[in-house]
Amino acid sequence: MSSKKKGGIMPFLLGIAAALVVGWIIFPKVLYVQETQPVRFSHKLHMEQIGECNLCHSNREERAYATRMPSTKDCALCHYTALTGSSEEKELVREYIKKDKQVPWKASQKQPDNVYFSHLAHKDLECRQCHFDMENRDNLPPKYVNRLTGYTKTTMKMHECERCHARENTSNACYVCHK
Amino acid sequence: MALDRRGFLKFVAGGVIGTGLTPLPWKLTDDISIWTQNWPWIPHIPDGEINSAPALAKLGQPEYGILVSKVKGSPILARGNPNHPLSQGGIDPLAASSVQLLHSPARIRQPMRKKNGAFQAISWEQAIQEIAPKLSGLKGQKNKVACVSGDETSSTNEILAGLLQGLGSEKFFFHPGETTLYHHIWQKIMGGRGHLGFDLPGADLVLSLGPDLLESWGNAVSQQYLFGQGTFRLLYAGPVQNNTAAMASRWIPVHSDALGHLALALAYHILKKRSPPRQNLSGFRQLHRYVRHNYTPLEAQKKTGLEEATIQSLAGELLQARRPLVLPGSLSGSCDVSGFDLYCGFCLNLLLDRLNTAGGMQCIPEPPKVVPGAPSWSKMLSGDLLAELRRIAQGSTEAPELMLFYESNPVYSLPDSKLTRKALEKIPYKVSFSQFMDETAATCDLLLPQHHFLERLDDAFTPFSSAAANYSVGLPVLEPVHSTRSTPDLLLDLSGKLELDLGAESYETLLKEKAGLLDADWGKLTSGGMWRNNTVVSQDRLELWNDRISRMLGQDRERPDKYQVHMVPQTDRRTGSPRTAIPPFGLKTLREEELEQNTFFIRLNRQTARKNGVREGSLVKIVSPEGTCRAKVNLDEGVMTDAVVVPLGFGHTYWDQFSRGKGDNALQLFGIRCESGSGMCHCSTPRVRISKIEAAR
Amino acid sequence: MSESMQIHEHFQIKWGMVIDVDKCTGCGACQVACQAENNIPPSQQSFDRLRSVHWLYVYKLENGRPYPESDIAYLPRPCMQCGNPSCASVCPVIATTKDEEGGIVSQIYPRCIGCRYCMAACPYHSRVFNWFDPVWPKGMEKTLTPYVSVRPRGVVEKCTFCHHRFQLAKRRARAEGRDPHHLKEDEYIPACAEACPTGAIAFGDLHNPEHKVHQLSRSEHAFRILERLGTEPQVYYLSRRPWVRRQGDNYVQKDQQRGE
Repeated sequence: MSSKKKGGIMPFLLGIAAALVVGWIIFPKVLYVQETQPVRFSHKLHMEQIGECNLCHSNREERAYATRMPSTKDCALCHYTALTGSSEEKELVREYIKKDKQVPWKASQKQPDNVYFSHLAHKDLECRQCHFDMENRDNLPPKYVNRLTGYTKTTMKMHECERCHARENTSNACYVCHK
Repeated sequence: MALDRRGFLKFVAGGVIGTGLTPLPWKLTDDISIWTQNWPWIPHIPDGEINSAPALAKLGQPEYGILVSKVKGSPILARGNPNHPLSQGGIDPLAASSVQLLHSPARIRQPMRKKNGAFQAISWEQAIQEIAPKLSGLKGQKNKVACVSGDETSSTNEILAGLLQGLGSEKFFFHPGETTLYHHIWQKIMGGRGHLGFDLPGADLVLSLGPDLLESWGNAVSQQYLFGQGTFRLLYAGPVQNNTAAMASRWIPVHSDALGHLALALAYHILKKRSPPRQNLSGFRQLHRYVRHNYTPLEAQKKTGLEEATIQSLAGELLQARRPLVLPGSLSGSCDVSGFDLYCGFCLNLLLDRLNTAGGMQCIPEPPKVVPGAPSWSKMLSGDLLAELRRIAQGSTEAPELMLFYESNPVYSLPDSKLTRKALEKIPYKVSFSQFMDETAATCDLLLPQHHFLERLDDAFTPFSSAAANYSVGLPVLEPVHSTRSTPDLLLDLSGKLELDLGAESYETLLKEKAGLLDADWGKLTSGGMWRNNTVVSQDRLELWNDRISRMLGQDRERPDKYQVHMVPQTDRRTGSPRTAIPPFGLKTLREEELEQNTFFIRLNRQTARKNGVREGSLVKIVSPEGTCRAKVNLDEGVMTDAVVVPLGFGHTYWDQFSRGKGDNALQLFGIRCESGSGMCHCSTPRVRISKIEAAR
Repeated sequence: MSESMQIHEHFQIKWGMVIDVDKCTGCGACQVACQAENNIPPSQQSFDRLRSVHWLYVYKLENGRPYPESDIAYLPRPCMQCGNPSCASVCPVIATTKDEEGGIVSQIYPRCIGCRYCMAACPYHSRVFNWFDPVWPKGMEKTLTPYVSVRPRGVVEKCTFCHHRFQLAKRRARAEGRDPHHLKEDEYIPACAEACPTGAIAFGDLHNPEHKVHQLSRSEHAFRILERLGTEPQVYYLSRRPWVRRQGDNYVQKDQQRGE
């Protein structure tokens, strides 16, 4: 009897605990590759100075809206020479602006090949509804890429799109988004 | 605490239940399903801003402005340019493949030298060290260096011809084609001045005597645009219901060797009804007499095989139209047209008073010359490559020591391939500037690959068939993909080493100078615009009759009896051009009745098939005095009896997997014919014999 | 036909194409433009249902008369974007539907399970199955466009009227502050229509009287392929030649209606 008691429920609980550790902590770590951004960037600081997302994130020539990562030209508008003493800024000026090389920003929230997304069509929404609290962040979030699917960790899933489209009474026809 | 079996099972059970409380199984299932939708070996599409840049399509006739769409500076596709007057937004299937051709497996990636029969890659320095002493050794010796250019509009020709002149050679040749043949008849035989153009936009009736003007003749894209706009009524005379005939208001079936006769038969009626043309034409009375005697309705019927009423009604249409235009020319848009046919067509236009007038034949001034040492364009155009190769093969002319090939693939695209090969074999050292490993490059000793046209600065002055003088410039739209070099700049470098002054620092300064001479705005030219000038060259001593013409008209046109079927070559831009093979996307567009596996199809009607004992799908041999092709039969009632349509563009032996070994090269059936009167050599399309190949089982 | 089956008539926009057969020279520019635009891989074979993928095929029509009465015509065949698509109703996974926004028949590649019911159902042979993975010669994958995702082996694909151009046209309209659902004439046209040198392919909203296709589709020379099946194609053809119109359907000698 005692030998039966010896184990008791312990192995079972241990099993649960181990599974929880694997499932909640190890698995996500193993599933995603973390890619860090090439240049440190504070959205918070820039929002204090500029107060608008679109100045850097829109393509002025096509009058499109919030469609892209900023180009070196956008940075050079202010940072043609270093404004502060920070070493990161000096590196940006030296490595990218002076060489007219594009900064390889890593989009941490990227839609897959088969999805077309127009920011312009969604301009009545607040940026933070999808881009979390980016404007108050002091650093850029790293890009997490799913090893299996190649999707980013924060890629919006189709049911999320559909739910909002349904709520807003917008068409959920396949070709509104798919390509 | 030792783990026993029971404990272990408890642990596993806990694990299973615990796993159910984590996102792992659900996330993994979802991800696996997404994984199966995005196999890692399937290429991803690019992401980024799309913009477009103007460019100039230089794949041989037709040449016009296009737009190239780019993502992050990398070209993705080519479209028509609505703002370029020679394109008006249209594009042909070959130019639409421009971007894909950049990455063709056939591209030559760096300079190469042939050693022991195989090519070895070398650096540009080594390449220049190889060629410079060869050229300088030949400097000052007469006609030791020759050159063939297949680009009729680029200023690079001036550099090539100027370099040759500096070295002491006059052996600059254009690849034979309509430009050189029209030039020969117009200037040398008829005493005309300027280059001939055709004002199709101004015409209200177009009678095409052979040219497939909606597919292969002149600037087909611009002609297709005009046709779509319905600006002219289109009549087509020729042996096959090609795309032009199918679209035309009327198709008049005439064998290809009777097209010149048809022109003169029409002239008979026009001379009868119309007063003599205003233009001062010497020999008008002799021609008048000749036509009145030799093209009476009865004679005309015999010579053309057409009913008298048909000829009469055609003549009636020409007489009634306000601005009629007659187009003589090649059926395949290359060199298969005789001087006789061209002369007769030009004559008909002159008798209709259609010279230098809206909707008529236009005499376009020569481009200004920017390389001082180069011969005039007229001089450059008057070289007769076919005659020269024939002389070299026969030994009556000494072969040059060195030959340069620019945008030209004579081994594939010249008639009488045996003679061409024999002549080329006599030339000890050959250099190709080709971008692609074509049949000619493969026989060369040194390859100095030119940039693809999207990678280089180049120009086009008045492409063949233009209505007025025009000039376009194309800027490079991307950095070169391979280690290639701009040929004109390379030649300017070389000329410095050879101590020859070609009068320019770089190709760019040269083109800017040309634009300056034309009074064209460089900024407008390089942003996809076109310079145009409607000035025409007036004619003072046009000859309708002279010794050479009378000999040309009187020559014997009979052919050996052994071969019965008229061969009708047909060009389709889906299968490339004389200097570009079938593009990657072109091959797929060929229908089941055009190419099956690696056998191409010839087309003939039921009656011809019966006469020759073949049926739909029969595997046949087509034999001409010059060569043999293998093909399958496709019955097509749109072909005249006793004629067979043989498509061109097949049977490449080099290039890439999209063209190599696909069908046979019908050009090997072509012969070279040198007319006694005109003194001009052209490709002849001899009659052929068709015989069934018994299936070997 | 019952009221419910004509649901497509209630869509606000119905994109349609009118192809003037008498203006088509069969040059093939549309086919090449289509392949380049839609990331259709090149193939080392000529037309081949097994190995090469086509969205737009150009048929050669013959009137069947002996020389010299023969006549030919070329008929480009994209997806007909049927009003009552036979493909959509048989798809077990709803990978293909009749979109209410524009009335284009959609095909969602990641959703397709490759059962090919739709191919059997389509009377126009507009659909192709990828029996093989797409292959571009080394380096040529750099010419892939951002417009259409690349399809792997095992899924069905077809012409989409270049609907990505509709998406882009809507974006442009939004950028200019206009209603994206009232596009001007030619603001959205597929790649084939853009490339056609003779202008044989007209494209627009069949419901919008301001678009030329509205009138053209009502021309006495207009016809649709296999019209009597009731699939209500949104691709119309024009020809002034009766024999061409007659080949648009399988008419037999006794038919009252003769398609002429």
